[in-house]
Amino acid sequence: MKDSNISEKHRIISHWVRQYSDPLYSWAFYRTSDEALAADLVQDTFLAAFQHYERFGGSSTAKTWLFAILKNKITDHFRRVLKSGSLGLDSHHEGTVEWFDDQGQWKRAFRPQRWDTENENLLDDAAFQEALAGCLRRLPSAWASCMHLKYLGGNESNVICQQLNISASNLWQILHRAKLQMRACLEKRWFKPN
Amino acid sequence: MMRVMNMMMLSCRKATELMERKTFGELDAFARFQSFMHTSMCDACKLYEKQSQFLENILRKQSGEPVDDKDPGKHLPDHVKSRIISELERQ
Repeated sequence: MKDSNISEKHRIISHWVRQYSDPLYSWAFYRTSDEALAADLVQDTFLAAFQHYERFGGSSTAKTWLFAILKNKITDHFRRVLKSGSLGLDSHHEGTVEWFDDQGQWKRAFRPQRWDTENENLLDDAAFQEALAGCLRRLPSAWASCMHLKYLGGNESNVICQQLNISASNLWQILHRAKLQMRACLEKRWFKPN
Repeated sequence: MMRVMNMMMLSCRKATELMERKTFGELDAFARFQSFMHTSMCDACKLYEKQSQFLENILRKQSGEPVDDKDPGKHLPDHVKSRIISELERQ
């Protein structure tokens, strides 16, 4: 009886692998910019699903359940990134741009310019997706980790701070700089090229 | 009076940082007022706020579970899928 349960479990989860690994993989790649890592995270997700199959109730779809597991795996990954590397906040850090002058006003070269279109339908445009992904890849890994965690649904900053074990003021600084850099990067690569 | 004015006025650096905090809904009334005062007078920060909001929306939209009928974009190579399935067999 037990053997037949296990083979049934194999059958179901193998079916999920064929059905859902592409969206899971794309989703993980977008957040990590690393194909090998994204593939490992997807594998870990299916192994965890196999181990905890009994917890999969009928209350959500298989896809939603798998995404929830992957989300936890990615959160763990970001936590490790933050733990192992620098926060990239010291001014000598490579790639750090000083956007403001001594008085805290925009430097002339970095003043935001007017964009012609800023429509959310841009996300359907593969070329825009590519530009966006390119800008994400250019962020220091600690900043990208904080940013992704924010959009993964951490609507409370103290939850993110606890997850990453950093202070609130560091989190604000990181998110602020990440946003400044993302905005300027998209302006240069998409909205105002040349 | 000057001192009061100085207290009210934010630098662009500070104003844009407050916008980031605002996305978590963690600004008190005074900071919201300061931020509002600054952007109403500073064209660069007004633009920044609009563009930052746009970025906020698209990045948030991207983090949800993808919809079924949409091409996921990237595909996990078949040999990796087979590897995962044989890994499962070993459990």
